[in-house]
Amino acid sequence: MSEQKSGGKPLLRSLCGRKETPILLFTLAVYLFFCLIAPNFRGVTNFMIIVQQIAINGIVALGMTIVIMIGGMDLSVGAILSLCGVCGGMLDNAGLPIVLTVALTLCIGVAAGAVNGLLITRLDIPDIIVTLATMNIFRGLAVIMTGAKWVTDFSPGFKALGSTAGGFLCFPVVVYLLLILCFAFMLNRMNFGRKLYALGGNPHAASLMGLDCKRLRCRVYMINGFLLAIAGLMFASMMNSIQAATAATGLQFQTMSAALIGGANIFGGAGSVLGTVIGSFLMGSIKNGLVQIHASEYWLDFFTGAIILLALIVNLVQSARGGRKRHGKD
Amino acid sequence: MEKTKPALGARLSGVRQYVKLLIILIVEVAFFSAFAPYFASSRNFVNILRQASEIGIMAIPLTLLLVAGYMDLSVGSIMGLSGIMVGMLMRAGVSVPLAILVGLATGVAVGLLNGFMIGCLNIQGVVVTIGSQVMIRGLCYIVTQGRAVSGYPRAFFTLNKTVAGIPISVWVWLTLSVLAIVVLERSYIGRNIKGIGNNATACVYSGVPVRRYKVLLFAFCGLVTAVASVFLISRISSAEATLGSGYELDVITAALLGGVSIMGGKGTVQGAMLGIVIIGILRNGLNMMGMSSIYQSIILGVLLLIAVTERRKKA
Amino acid sequence: MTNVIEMRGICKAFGGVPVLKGVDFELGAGEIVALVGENGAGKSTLMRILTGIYAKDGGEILYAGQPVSFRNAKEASAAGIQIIHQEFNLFPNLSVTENIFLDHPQMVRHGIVDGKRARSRAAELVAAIGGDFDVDEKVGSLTVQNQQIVEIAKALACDAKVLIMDEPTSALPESEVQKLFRTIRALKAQGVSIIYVSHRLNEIFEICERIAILRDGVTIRQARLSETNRDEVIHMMVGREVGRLYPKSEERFGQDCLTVSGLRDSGNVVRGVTFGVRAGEILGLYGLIGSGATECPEMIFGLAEHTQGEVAVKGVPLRELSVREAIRRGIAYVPADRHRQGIVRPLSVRFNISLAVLKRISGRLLIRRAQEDALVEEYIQKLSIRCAGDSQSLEHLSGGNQQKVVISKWLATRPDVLILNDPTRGVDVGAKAEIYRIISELAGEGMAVVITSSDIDEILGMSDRILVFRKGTIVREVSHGEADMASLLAAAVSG
Repeated sequence: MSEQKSGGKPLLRSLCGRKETPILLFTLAVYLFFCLIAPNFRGVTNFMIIVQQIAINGIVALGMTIVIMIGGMDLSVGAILSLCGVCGGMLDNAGLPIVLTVALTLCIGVAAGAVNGLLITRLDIPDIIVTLATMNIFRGLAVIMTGAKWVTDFSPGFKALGSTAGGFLCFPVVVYLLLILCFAFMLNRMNFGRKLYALGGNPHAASLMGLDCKRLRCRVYMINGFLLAIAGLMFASMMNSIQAATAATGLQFQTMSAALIGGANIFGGAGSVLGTVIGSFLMGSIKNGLVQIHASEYWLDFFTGAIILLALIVNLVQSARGGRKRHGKD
Repeated sequence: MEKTKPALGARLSGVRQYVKLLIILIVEVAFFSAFAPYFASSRNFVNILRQASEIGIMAIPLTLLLVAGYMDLSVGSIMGLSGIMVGMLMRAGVSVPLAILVGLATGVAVGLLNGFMIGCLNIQGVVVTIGSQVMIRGLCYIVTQGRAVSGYPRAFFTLNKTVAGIPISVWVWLTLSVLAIVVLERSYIGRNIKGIGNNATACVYSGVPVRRYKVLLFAFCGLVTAVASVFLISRISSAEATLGSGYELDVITAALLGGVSIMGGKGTVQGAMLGIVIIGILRNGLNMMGMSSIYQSIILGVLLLIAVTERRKKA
Repeated sequence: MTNVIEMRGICKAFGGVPVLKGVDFELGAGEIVALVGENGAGKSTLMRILTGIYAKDGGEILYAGQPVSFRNAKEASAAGIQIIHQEFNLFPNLSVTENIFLDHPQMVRHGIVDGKRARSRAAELVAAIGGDFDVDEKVGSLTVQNQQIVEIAKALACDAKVLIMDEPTSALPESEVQKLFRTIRALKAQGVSIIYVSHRLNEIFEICERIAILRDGVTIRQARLSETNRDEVIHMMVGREVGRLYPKSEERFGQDCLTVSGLRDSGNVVRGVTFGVRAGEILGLYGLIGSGATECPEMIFGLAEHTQGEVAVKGVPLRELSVREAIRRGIAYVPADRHRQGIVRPLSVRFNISLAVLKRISGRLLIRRAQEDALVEEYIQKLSIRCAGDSQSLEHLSGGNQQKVVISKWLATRPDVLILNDPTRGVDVGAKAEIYRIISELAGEGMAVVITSSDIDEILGMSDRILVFRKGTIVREVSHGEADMASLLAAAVSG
């Protein structure tokens, strides 16, 4: 906070111009609100806990951001996470070295993403239908593999993946931060990121200028699968056990609302890493805050849905304003 | 003579599509009769119909919505909330008819919310109903505090009775289906629905009140889903927060399996009904064979993909 | 002067129908050549062959003296031939720089975009062609003319040696045309050769040096503009005297049927338009794109917003301007974009014809089959719609028959006023004549008809009276006898 102030006027002005500013202010307001009414919510320790809590969802939300950016939708994220989590856990139980476990799990995640991507692009089925189907298929596979039993009893190496020891420098948070940096770099500086924005913004023009849209689309789902594998491993490790049927149900909605509220547009072409990170933090703060004020955690679902609808309306207002601006200049 | 030829051809190709579904149905019945104990009994068939009727009732408005080019993923949650409303009101001593009425009103209210956002604000239907799905499910948890709502008055269970050996819910399903078939195939409303699903812009240009249709279809969807919900809680005699969750997958799969196009404009209620029966028998048979529900959802998922792929290839 | 491009004897046929029958075309280095011709003369086909989108059936193309044959648009683009389509292909959510250098090999190293270099290069390019806006701005928030500059800059970034501009001024307000010309001259100064596809002759005479005139798939003439004049060009384009396409037996008009007074919208597309149409009269509305001639009917029919004005049918004003009220009061509107706005394509002839009168032929709920049969049969006969029965899908009907179905749909509402927007777009010659005959007959029966069209022939040939629109107002009114193409064009451009 103090750093921003010392930046002086130019920084303040550029802050006002940014798309993420309103949502940042809203998040701060929610955070302050909980600080005021819940003594336990205040303080660096709880802030750290929130950051640790959002690491997994935050990673998934990054993937969701690029999926939504290209005009897609993935309802199967929870199922893939669960599949990767139990696979990782079972590989670990089988006594594989941790490096191999991680590598294989990542491959499984990418493969699951590729299944989504290939079904969408090769068979030309809408994203939402494909992932609605694979949501059930992947979840079912995970349950069958585990025989509906908990997977637990992990090796020390596996446990370290989701360990919260080390505060801000614990493994999940560090990986989350690294991924944030990677994604920010990819979307802002790399040709690949530009192409994703282009594909989402005007798919017709993208294919006219010779971009291989199907390949791009498929890759996005594979990257998404990769992130889900990372998140799945951390999930199993952090909870110290994982049950295929119940792990991360509803994850698609939580991450979707984080991405949408962070400025992603369901019609594609918009979204930013910073926005999604703020959106994830908002969701995490609400979740944590509800617990701290002893409100029923059930309110979380309600808020998630309400935030999705709210974000949609904000999307609408923004694009309407954009449209008016264009017309006004003519 | 020449005039009737293509009509006949088109009708035949329509029939051919049902033939395929009927074959699937027969194979299914034969398979389970052979391998699932107690499957082939009249009591079990009544049971299958009773279970299918709830999803079948929901499938009717959803089919109309799909034909008009929209989609409602929130039907499972609407089912949950209106069932819970009915249950809680009855437990609080409200008379049965009034409780049911409020339950139906709840369904309509959610449907209107969907319809308003989609029809009047022009937001993409799929995403809106995902949002309301999550929000309404959250409400279910908040209202019930995670506890099951049961202990209903006797009068309520008259809904479980059978008339002429067939449960009331099945009668309602069949009646509504026949009505919907007539409306979709023979009335101006059905024509307009098909028109909107194929080319909404041309319909606006022809004076069809497209927005009104959108809003009313979603409201109708909420209403009919609430009806299904009432039958569901009278059958299982309890309502909990998860009531009806995941039902949207069954309903949509059934409709798509029955030949309804995911892109809108094409589909029939009778096709969706066949889809419902096929899925109903599948679930029942697999249950009888002791297969867990998780296998069933895998099979449903695969069926959904196959159903959509088939259509896309033809188009 | 050496020729950058020489096309000789280019032939192309679609499904056995020859569209180009040996076209010659030359473009000198640093030259601006106009390519003109009526709709359907083969301009766009020729340009698509040049840019590799279509393969030619015969003839040869020399590019900088070398024979070439591009297999796809990318090859042509790589060789330096760029085209700017009428519809821009830009990414509204990306900045100007990003649009210009998206996936550009020179700006990407190891998958990373050199943002700084791209930015400064983009600024250079934009400034060089007279663009005055921030290259960091999102393209979606730019005006149409600035978006066009981005398109041009994009072409330049790909080292365009030949730039094809397809109707570049059609989307521009007139005030911006001069700016575009400045840009084009700047391009010429940089050595870019330009093919300017348009049929706005006054613009062509201002900016171009030579002209190539196509008609019915052959080159009628290539000439320096100094060696010809407007009347000659128009004559060569048209190739015939434009006369009345369907003379009416009797020109007796009834009472004012449709009256429009003071129609105006917030965007100043239409500013205070007042006119009337009498029963039995065919009124033509003519104007360039954006002049209000096509927007005005949309407003009357409640499809576009208006802020002021009143529409009355037979002296009684409409309660509001909405589609349903317009239909109720006897106004029918055949829209310009048949596929999107006119027909419900996969569905049957029957479905489409009865779409606008479903309520009338239904009871409480059900459609009265016999009544519908009679209605559909009546119009299939009356307009001689060629279909294999009333349940045939419109998908397999020709454009002309599809359009007749749309007209039937509206006649079924028994309108007093029939408004047609570009009624023969994408319709073959034979069907065109039939549609003209139908329209004439309807007027003969006492219907008030309003036609607006991009095809000046159509307006001239059909109308009893023509209103010329410019900048949202009616600038001239001419009756059939005194109208000719040159005077209409002159009025539309500068009257």
